[in-house]
Formats: sequence, C-alpha cells, structure tokens
Amino acid sequence: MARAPVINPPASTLLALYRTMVMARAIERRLWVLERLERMAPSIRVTGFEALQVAAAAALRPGRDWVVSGPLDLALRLAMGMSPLDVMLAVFEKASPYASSASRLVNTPAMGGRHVAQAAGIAYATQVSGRDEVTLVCTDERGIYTGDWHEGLNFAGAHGLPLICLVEEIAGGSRPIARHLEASPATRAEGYGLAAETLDGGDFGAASAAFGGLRPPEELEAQAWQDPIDRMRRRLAAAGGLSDDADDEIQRESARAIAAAVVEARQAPSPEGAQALDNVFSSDLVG
Amino acid sequence: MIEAVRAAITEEMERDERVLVMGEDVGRKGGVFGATEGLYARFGEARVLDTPLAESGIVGVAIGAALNGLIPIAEIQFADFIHPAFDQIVSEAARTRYRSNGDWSVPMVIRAPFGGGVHGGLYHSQSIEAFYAHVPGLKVVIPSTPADAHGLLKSAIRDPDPVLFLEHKKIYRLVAEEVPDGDHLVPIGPAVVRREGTNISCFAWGLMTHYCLQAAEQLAADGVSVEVVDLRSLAPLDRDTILQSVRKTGKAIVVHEDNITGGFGAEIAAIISEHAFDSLDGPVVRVAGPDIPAMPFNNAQEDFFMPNPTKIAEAMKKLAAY
Repeated sequence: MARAPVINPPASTLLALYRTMVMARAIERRLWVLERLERMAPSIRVTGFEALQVAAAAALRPGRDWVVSGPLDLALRLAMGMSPLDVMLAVFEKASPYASSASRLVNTPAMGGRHVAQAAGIAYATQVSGRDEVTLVCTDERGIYTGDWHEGLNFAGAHGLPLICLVEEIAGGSRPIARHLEASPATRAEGYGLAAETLDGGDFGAASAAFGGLRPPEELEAQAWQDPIDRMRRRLAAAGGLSDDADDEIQRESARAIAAAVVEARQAPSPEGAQALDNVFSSDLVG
Repeated sequence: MIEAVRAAITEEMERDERVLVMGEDVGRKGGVFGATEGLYARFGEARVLDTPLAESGIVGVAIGAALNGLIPIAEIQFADFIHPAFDQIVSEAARTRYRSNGDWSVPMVIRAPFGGGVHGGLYHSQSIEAFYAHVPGLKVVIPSTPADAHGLLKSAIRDPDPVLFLEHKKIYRLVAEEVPDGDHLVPIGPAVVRREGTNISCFAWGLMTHYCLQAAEQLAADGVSVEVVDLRSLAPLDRDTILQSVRKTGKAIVVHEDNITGGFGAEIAAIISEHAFDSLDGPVVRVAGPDIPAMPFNNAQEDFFMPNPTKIAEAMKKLAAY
C-alpha cells in the first residue's frame, strides 16, 4: 500500500507538526483556565502526547484513513483537520464534539476500549471493500483492561486487518494490573498476532519511525520525562528549521487563534432546548 | 418462520452487496436455528462471518463496519447472551447519531432469538425487550408471523438506524404461512389488529400474540368479543392503535413473557391510563411472567412461568366480568 514516507519528513512538514503540537498545548492551557474560571467542562490532559500523535497523523492520509480517537487525542485531531474553533464550539456547548464524518475522524467519549472493537469493524469494512485505507485507534493504557480491547484486537489479528492500535500510557497512572505483570500492552497485542512495539512517545523521531514502518523490537532506555515540544523544538533548531524569533511567532499565532476561537464560540448561537429532541432517529422512513 | 427470516436476509444480501451477516456459527453451520443456512456457500466467508463467542465484540465490530459503509446483520445466538453487548448497543449504537448531531449513523440489525416455553432453562429462554425498548435511538421489532418476519426484517436492514430484531424461537417452526411475493416490506412502527373485537383490547407481541388469539377464541364462545393487537414494534410504539382500540372497548389487557415488574406491559398500561383514562371501564390488566430471576428448567415450573392461552383466557374472563 502506498504510504507517505515519514521517517525523515522535510523541514516544512516538521514545522507544521510542531505548530500543531504547540496549538494542542496552548488549547489545553486555555481549557484549564476556562474550567476554573467559567465552570466549563473539565479539561483533559494532553501534555506529553503531542509528539506521538502528530507523528501518527503524519503517517495517515486525512480523508482517506480512519482515526478513532479518545479524549487524550487533541493533537491528533488537530493534525487530522479539526480546528481550534471546532474545539471551542464544543467546549462552549454550541456544537457536537463527535461530528466529524467528513474527515473520517470518529471521536469517542470512551476512556476504555469499546471503540477498539468498533475500529476493528471499520478496518474489516475496509478489507471487505478492498479499499486502500488504514484505521488508527487510540486508547489510554486503561483501555487494555477492558474486554472490548482484547475482543477488537483478537478480531483484527484473526483477519489481518489494516488496523493500528495506539496505547498511550499516562505517566504516573495507577497501572493496577500492569505493575504486577511483566507483560506490556505490546506483548499482549503480539499474543493476538499483531506486530507491536513499545516506544518513547515523547520522541517524535521514534514515534515517526514506528508509524512509518514498524521497526524490530529493541529495549528502550528508561528515560526521565522530557517535554516532547521541547525535544521537537531542539530537533528543528538543530536542523536550522526554527529560530527563536520564529518559535515566538508560532506561540503567538497559537494564542491569537485560540483567543479568536473562544470569541467566536462564545458568540455562536446556542441551540434551543427543544432541539435536544433532534437526531434521535433518522427522518428517513422505510417500508 | 425461520425460512422467512432466511429469505429476507438472502434477498437483501442479493440486493445490496453492503449487507453481511456475522455471529457465532452463522457461517459454515448456518446458525443454530438455520437462519443463515446456505448463505456461506452462496455469498462467501467475507459476507457470512463466523465470529468469536464474544457478544460485545460482535456488536462493536458491527458498529464499526456500519460506520464504514457496510450494513451488518449481527446475530446474537440467544437473546440471553446479549448482555455483554449492552454497553455497545446502548452507549454506542443507539447514541451515535444523537451525540454527533446527526453526522454519523449506525445502520445495522441485531437479530436475537428470544423467549421461552422451549425447555431452554435459565439461559436460553429470556425475554429482553424491556431493557432495550427503554433506549431512545434503538428500534425494537418483534414479528409474530412469517410474513411480518420477512417484511419487517427487510425494512430493518434498510433502516438508517440500529434495529434490535427479536425472533421468538418457539414460533420459528410453529407458525407457517405464505410470504407475499416480491420485494415485500412491512414498515417498522405500525401495529396490526389480528382480531377485531368490542369488549376487551388485548396487546401482545411474538408468541404471545398467538396465545392471545387462542384465548380470544375461547372467550368468543362465552360471548365476549376480544380485540387482539399485535404490536410488532415496541420502539417505535404505535400509541394511536393502542389508544384507538382501548377507547372502543374500554378494557385492556397486556400479555408478555417477561417478568411483570418493569416489563413493557407497564409502559402500555401507563400510556392507556394517561391518555385513555376516561374510556376505561376496568383496570388495565397484565398477564406476565412472575418476578423470579429466570425461567426454570423444570417442566412444571416452566409451565408456571409461561403465560398460556388458559391463563390468558382466565384473566380475560375476569376482566370482562369487572
């Protein structure tokens, strides 16, 4: 299947991905403020996942490949075409955060793994139809404790489906079972016949290599947590693709875009209460 | 009726290559009741898919396939086994259109044989309709005749929303009739009056429709005219036909196998008392399974659990005399 080479993307691509990472972080910070000052919906943590998610997005083809994402995956959704305004309209309860069929972005509220089984179904439809599509499904590490995660991967492995399951580990998470076991999520996936590896999600290069083509398993060095945005900035600067002034401008651009999105979302019309009755069923009648 | 189910699936698979069936033993075996017999050879493994014994995964995969353009018919081998898939059905299939503000839809059918009186015991006899008829966004259809099974299933497959299609396994081979030729569709929603009457309105679905018709025949010998309404669809529910019938007869009885407390009969009774109270000439009566956890294996206890024509006729007589 034709896939974009991503292991060494050009500087312009790296810079675009870096902008997305910065934007995701800035939105997270803004949501944190909105939650506390205006009692908006609780914000979620995206810090630390940006490099991994934009690396994944860089390997996908927006509009063709499928993404089934969860609450952690803001940087991924931004990289796949969601705008800061889309985010803010949902935050201000003016639009659904789950409406994105045009971009094949299935945004789910699930923290567990039930959407992994659905992703396997999406990939099965791809296989049956003979289309050239890949499905990426994301779950945080808690998802692997659910039956649906295993049922989905079992189905995907049995049918050899074009599915990538990204398990995002939350540093400092409780890991109620994993701390007692040696088996990583990758080891469990291998049990279902899937190629799998564990990588440092804060390292864009490692993530990019993994999504561009799975590399042979290797032992990862234990690393202190490093901000993936800092690492990406150093990478770009070392390659001569990002000056301090340019970086400052990217930060300001993000702030301006988010501020504008907040203003527009505040001013957007709110649906009527009775519109809560809409879209329970299709209006198309059969028979 | 099982032939009608198989014919509907076959015709829809021939009509639309997006339609596929999936479930435990639906492929080579053709399903435990034979509903998919011959489809594997005819349509191939990709469209007649044997799945692991994992109901949540079956429904989850079907949801994903529907999101990506297919029209899955997911078979749950027995309705008793559907409970692991409750979260996928309620939180995902039924809610996807709503939570996406109409952007996504999940056109899929979940078929499940249900009901007792077949010596199936605790885990092959359950009636589950009340759990799911409670869920907006999900349609719940229960045919009682081969023609309806055929026409309603074809409509369900063409429906843009998820449909739970419950087939009473005792009538798979108990009831036979000619199915209309051609592309015969029965719309989901309207009830049908199986027997007209003037003294009592009787509401039922699935096997109980037939038992109610037998009971009505007994009552007729005593000069009591019973109208039997086969609801066919619990969601959407044909309230107009229910209320129209009760306003005519003034008395209502609801019959179902499910446990009486919280069974769907309670909803019908509430609708009648809220909207046709002035027409009532007696209490709304329910004939239903007792409030015990499941249908026992023991023959005497299974008989004790199941409504039957005699029990229904007794309740009708009592109501007629009220």
